[in-house]
Amino acid sequence: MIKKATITGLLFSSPFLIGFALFTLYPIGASLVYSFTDFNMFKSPTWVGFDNYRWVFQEDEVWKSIRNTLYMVAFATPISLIVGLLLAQMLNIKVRGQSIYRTLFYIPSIVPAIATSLVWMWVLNPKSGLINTALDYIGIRGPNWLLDPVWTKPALIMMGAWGAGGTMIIFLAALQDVPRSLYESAEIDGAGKVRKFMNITLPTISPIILFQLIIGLITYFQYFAQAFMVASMSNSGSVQTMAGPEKSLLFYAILLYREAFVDFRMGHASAMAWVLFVITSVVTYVIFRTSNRWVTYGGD
Amino acid sequence: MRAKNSKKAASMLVTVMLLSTVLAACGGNNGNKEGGASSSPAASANESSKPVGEKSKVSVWYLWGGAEGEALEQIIKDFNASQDKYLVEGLSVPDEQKIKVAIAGGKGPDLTDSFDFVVPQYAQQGIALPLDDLIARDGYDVSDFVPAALASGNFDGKQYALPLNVNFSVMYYNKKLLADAGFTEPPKTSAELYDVMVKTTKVNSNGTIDVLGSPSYPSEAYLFNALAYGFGSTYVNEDASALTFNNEGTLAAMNMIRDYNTKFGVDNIRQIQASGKWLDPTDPFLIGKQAIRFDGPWLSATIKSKQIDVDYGIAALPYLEGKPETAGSGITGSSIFYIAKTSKNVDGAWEFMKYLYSAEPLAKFLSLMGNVPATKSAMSSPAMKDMVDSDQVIPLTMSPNLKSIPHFAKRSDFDKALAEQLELMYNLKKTPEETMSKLEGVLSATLK
Amino acid sequence: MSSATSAFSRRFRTGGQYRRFLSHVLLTAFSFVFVTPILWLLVTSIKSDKDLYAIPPVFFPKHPRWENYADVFKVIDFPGMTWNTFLVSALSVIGVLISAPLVAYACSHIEWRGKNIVFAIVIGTLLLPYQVTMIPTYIIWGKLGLIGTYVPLVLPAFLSAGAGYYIFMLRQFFMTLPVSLVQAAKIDGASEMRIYLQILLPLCKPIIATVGVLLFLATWSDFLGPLLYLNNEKDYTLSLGLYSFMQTHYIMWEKLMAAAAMFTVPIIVLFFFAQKQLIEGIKLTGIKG
Repeated sequence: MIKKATITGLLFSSPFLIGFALFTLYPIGASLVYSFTDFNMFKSPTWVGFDNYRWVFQEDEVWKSIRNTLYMVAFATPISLIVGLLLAQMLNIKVRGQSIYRTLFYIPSIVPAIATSLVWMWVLNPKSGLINTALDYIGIRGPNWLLDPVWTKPALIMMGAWGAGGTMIIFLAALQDVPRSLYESAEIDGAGKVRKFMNITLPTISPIILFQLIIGLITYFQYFAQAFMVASMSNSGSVQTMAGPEKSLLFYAILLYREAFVDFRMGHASAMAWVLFVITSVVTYVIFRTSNRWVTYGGD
Repeated sequence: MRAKNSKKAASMLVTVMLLSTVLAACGGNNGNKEGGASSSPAASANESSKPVGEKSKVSVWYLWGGAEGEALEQIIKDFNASQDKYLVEGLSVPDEQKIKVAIAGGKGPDLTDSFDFVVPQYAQQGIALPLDDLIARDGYDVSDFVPAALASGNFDGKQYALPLNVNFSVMYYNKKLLADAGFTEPPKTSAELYDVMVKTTKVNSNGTIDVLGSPSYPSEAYLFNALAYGFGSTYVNEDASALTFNNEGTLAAMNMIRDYNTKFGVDNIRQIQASGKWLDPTDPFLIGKQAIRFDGPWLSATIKSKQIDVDYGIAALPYLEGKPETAGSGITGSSIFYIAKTSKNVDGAWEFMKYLYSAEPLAKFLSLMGNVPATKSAMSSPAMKDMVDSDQVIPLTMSPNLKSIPHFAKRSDFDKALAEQLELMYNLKKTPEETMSKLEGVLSATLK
Repeated sequence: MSSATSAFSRRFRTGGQYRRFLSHVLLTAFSFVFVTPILWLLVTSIKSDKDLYAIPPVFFPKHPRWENYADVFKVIDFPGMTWNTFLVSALSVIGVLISAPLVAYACSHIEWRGKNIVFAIVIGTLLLPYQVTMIPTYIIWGKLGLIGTYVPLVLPAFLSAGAGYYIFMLRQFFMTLPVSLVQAAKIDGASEMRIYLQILLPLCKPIIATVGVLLFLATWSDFLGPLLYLNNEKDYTLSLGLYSFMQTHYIMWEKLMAAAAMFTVPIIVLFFFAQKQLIEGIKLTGIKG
């Protein structure tokens, strides 16, 4: 009986397990091997021991990219979450045209990156762009968003928050699932809007916040597409290095891509990928372990 | 019961496999399939005896698009019509990384283009195939190439690529902006240049720049090598064994950018740099908001093809004050074509390459792009008359003071380090002196 | 609430009306922020050269140039690329929808030894940066001679590769289904496959639809996959085709924006009509644990 269940389980899992073996396990193993070799895809790999890992920890550019990436992780993740939650909260009221508003907020997250990057180049144009023109009205001189090393990352964070539609949808589903009875009993106690949000909404949806937080962290640890577009479209003359002004857009995944596909140092790139894997796993684990302090599950 | 389960699972797997075969069949009509899966370049060299009537396919990927891509497609068409042994198929792939990855995966083009500074890297990585055997076999005459340009395709004694053009910057100036500031002549020396830069710059009441007098657009990074070499600098000696970077030309270029940026504000200059896109109708020079511009002759082609109304002149780059003997200095580079190491049709690629580099096709192709060809025969071809401003630009290519950076193994590290340190200087975070002493250390390390 | 607002709400007689009014104001203000860049995309797509580069910039062109949309068809094979994109997206969705519920079921209602191990593996794949597997995977496809085909883009979906997120959602949903349902069927002598196909899958329709829509939205605009694996313009998907409007020296802004608008419209329509279903579906997964 037990054996039969095992076979059934295996059968049902087999497509996934085969896929996992072919497209995850084997590549992981291969990249682990590559990370101990000098390999450029054209010539066969030669064993170099821990040299690539030594390079990862000693190279200034790697540290620079880690600092830039942590900046995004630390600021962009929470900001995107807050914006997504805010939008969801606004949409969680029955109003006419709700589905239109939802669609409007969602659109930015599905427009192809190449088009949004170009649109944002216009929005962020320091001379005639939307933001700086608006700032000009109230007497503030806006920054040179994409050419000033101080402002490049805030600009990208804004672009990220603008595309928070996916996060919004998940939060919206969660908000709609908060039992009305909880609010009603709080209203009887005379709770105001803010208190209801803090005492009922947030705790009830905290598991979703945790889930979104982890997905957000993983996304920003691997942050690539938008930075890549911006770096290759601006005039800063740094196209070849893809690093943005004063390397302010040199993110970990960008450097990894550069090592792999521009300089063809697959050993370096594989070692970097593995270090990233370990970092992401550790951070996720720590968040999971500490999450019971703020996440409340429905049953408890 | 169990049998039933596994049968269903098995049939599902079969469906998956069937689907994938169908997909492979309909997605894979790729030119590269011709040569078979595992034929090495050497094997395919003897493989040219294809069945009669069947042309062997050659895939050519190029970085250009639009009008330039169409011009190359026209050459391809002409070639296909001119013979019946090969069928060239062109594809615009404006992403060099993708081309390299595809070559590495054995699914790339037979022939493709790039810039000369990648030659050391591509030679060492094994991306490009040395052409020496083919040149020797056919007795191909390379003496038609401008020697400096030919050398730019050479690394470690082997010819990995052939140059297409001789790229270099000339000085464009906006006649009206210069006249408004009281200049009837374009600047000839570094001192005159700085004078023009400062006097033609117009500043708004809030301190921002309305008209940029300096050639700092599109960016200082784009400008620097032309400025320094124009002032007679060289970065390394002829065999790249020693650094010659620390010289008065380099220093003068650094100081000029530092002075201008200090005077008008880094933020204000960046604002102009971000305000328009290079060679697009928003480009400051094209809307009459930049007085001096260092750029290649393609700027003339752009102005003409987009019917832009700007009254401009062309002159040689200014030379360092007090050094008239260095007049006409500058730095040259080339676009190149190379045969991929994993090409499955080396002979076909080489045939097309020879056709492309013959006088008429090359002149036809490059005159449209606004480029000076790298062969003497194409340069003197009547088709070159179609190149916009060729009468002004081609004489400037004859200057004996034009130089190029010789190849060395760590050229890409050299360029990276140079850009990184100079950027701090442009942003006034380091002085030219600090930058110079730092660069002397880092750059010479890349020469060993 | 302050006295001023309560006076305001009195004028609207009921608090509900006032609140609705305020929501509209807020929503409109936020929509404005979110939509302006998109509006710019749309107005750019109907600008002529003159309006495109006018100084000072023109927001809405006096003489809209609708031909830009027709011009898109001259630059790229738009219908062909749309079909390719649809094919790749649809096959990926089908692939995941066939294979992912199977493993989700194995991780929820089959009592076997590997149940938790397989689920742990699913979660593990979520954490794995794609950079780790990208290079070796490319090399494998190269060795199999399948680069330049749709196989590398589609086949992994049939094996649920990279679908960890969706397996997770499906599994969470299966967990909400009562065990008694499955047990009763087992007592009646139904095979696991029959239970799965005839009892559980029909209950899963809403969540399967949700996963399908989310997945379709994601694959429709996938860029990296097609960039790496497609080598022939005939096979290009739209996200890759959009690059044809950006050239070394020149961006065809107006045509690129027109193409981007046409690219996005199908998925906007899909979202508009599927949103309710989507949200209901996400609710059903009970991802709150």
